[in-house]
Amino acid sequence: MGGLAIARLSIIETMRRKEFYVILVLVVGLALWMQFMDISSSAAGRFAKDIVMQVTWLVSFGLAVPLAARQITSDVEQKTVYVFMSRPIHRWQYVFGRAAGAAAASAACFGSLFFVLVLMLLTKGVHNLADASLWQAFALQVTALVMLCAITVFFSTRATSAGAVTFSLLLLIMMRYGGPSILSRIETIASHGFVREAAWAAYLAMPHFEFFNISQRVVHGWGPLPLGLFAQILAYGTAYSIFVIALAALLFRRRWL
Amino acid sequence: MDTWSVRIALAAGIVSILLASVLVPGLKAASPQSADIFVQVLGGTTELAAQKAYLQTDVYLHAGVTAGDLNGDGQPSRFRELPFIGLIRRLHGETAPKVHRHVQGEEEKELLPWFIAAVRLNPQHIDAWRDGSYWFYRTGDLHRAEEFISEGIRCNPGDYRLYLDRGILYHRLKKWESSIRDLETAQKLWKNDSEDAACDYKAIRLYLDDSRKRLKSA
Repeated sequence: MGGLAIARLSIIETMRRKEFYVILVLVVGLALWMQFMDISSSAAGRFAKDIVMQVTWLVSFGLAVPLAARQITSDVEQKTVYVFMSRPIHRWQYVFGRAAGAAAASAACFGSLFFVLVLMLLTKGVHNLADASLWQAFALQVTALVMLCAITVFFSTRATSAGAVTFSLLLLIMMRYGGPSILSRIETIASHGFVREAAWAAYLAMPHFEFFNISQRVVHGWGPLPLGLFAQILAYGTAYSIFVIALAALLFRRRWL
Repeated sequence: MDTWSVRIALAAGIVSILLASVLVPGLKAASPQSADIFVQVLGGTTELAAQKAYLQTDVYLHAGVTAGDLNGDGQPSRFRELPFIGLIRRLHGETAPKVHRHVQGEEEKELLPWFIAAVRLNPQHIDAWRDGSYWFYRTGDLHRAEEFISEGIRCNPGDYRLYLDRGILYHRLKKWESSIRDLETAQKLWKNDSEDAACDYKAIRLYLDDSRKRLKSA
C-alpha cells in the first residue's frame, strides 16, 4: 500500500461524511436566492458574484482544515495507524498520502461548490466565462487549499486535531486578510537592524495566502493576472506545500507512536 | 472532530455577540419598526453588519479598492534593500489592484444592493436611506428613488434629513407642491445636533424658496 492508495482512502472517507453535502445544499440555496431575489433595478451581478464567491471560498477553507486535521490524529487515536505501519510503507509515504488525500478531497469539495458559482454566473449572465481571471481564481484557490492542508497536516503530526485546526486557521486568517498590513507594520515596529532582519525573515517564512486571493480582480473586472506572475504564485504554493509536507514527514518519522 | 466543529461554531457565535454588545451601545433586539428576518435573527449585530454593508458601497464605487489601500499606496519602504521586497510588493499590488478609479454608467447600479442590504439590516441607518435614494435617482430609477426614501421616512418619521432629501428629490422631479410639503416638515423637525445641521438648514431654506417661486410661476 503506497502513499497514493492512502490518499485514495482519505478521499473515500471524506466523501462518506455528511458535512460537505450539507454545505453544498446551503451554497446552492444561496445561489438560488441570489438568482431570484429582487435586489434592485440592476441585475446586481457583482453583488451576487461577490457574495457567492466569498462564501464558496470561505466554506472551502472551513471544510479543508478539519478534514486535514483529522487525517493523522484520528488514525493515532483509533490506533489504525498501526495497521498502516504494519504494511511495507515508509512513514513519509503515509504522511504524504494523508496530506495528498486531504488536499484532493478539499479540492473536489471546492470544485463542486465552484461549479455552483459557475452555473449561477451562467444563468444570471453577469460574467463572461471566457474571462481568464475566474479560472485563475479557481486554480489559485485550489493551490491555497493544498497549501492549507499541508500546513494543517504538519501541525497535526505533533498537536491534537483541535490544536492543528486552531493554528492553521490563525495562520490563514492572519496572512490572507492581514498580509499587506503586516508588511507595513513591520516597517514601523522594527526599525533596528537585528529586529528588522528577524521580523523580515519570519514574514517571508509565513504562508502567503494573500497572493492566492484575486477575488477583487474577478468581481470588479480588473482582468486576469499577468501569466508570468500567475505561474510564480502557483510555483510558490506548490513549493511551499512540498516543503511543509517534507517537514511534517520528518517530524512524524521521529514521533514515538 | 464533529464535536470540535460544534464547539468552534458556538465559540464564534458567543464572541460575535460579545463583540456586538461592546461595540453597539445598548445591544438591542429586533427593531419594533421592522419585521425583517435579518433583524429578527441577528438582533444587535445587525447594526455592525449594516455599517459594513454601507461601507461596501464606497468599495464598490471604487471598483473594489478601499480608501485604506490608497493611503498605503506609494509609501517609500525602508525595506527596499531586503531580499524579495520588490516581488512581494508587486504581488500584493497585482493580486489586489490599488488604482483609484470610479465605476461609471451601468456599473453604478452595482452599488444599490448594498444600500438595500444596509437598510434591511438597520432601518435606522439614515445615511444609507439618503445615499441609496440619491443613487437610485442617479442611475435613472426615479420611481425606486422616491419609494426608497419614503420607506426611510416611514421607518424614521422624526428625522428631518430624510424629508429634506425627499423634498430635494421632488424638486428635481418638478413636483413643487410635494417638495414644499416635505421641506416645510424638514424645517419643523430640524435640530442643530450635528456638524452638517447648519448646512442642511441652508439647503432647506434654499430649496423651499425656489420651490415656492417655481410653483407661483408655473
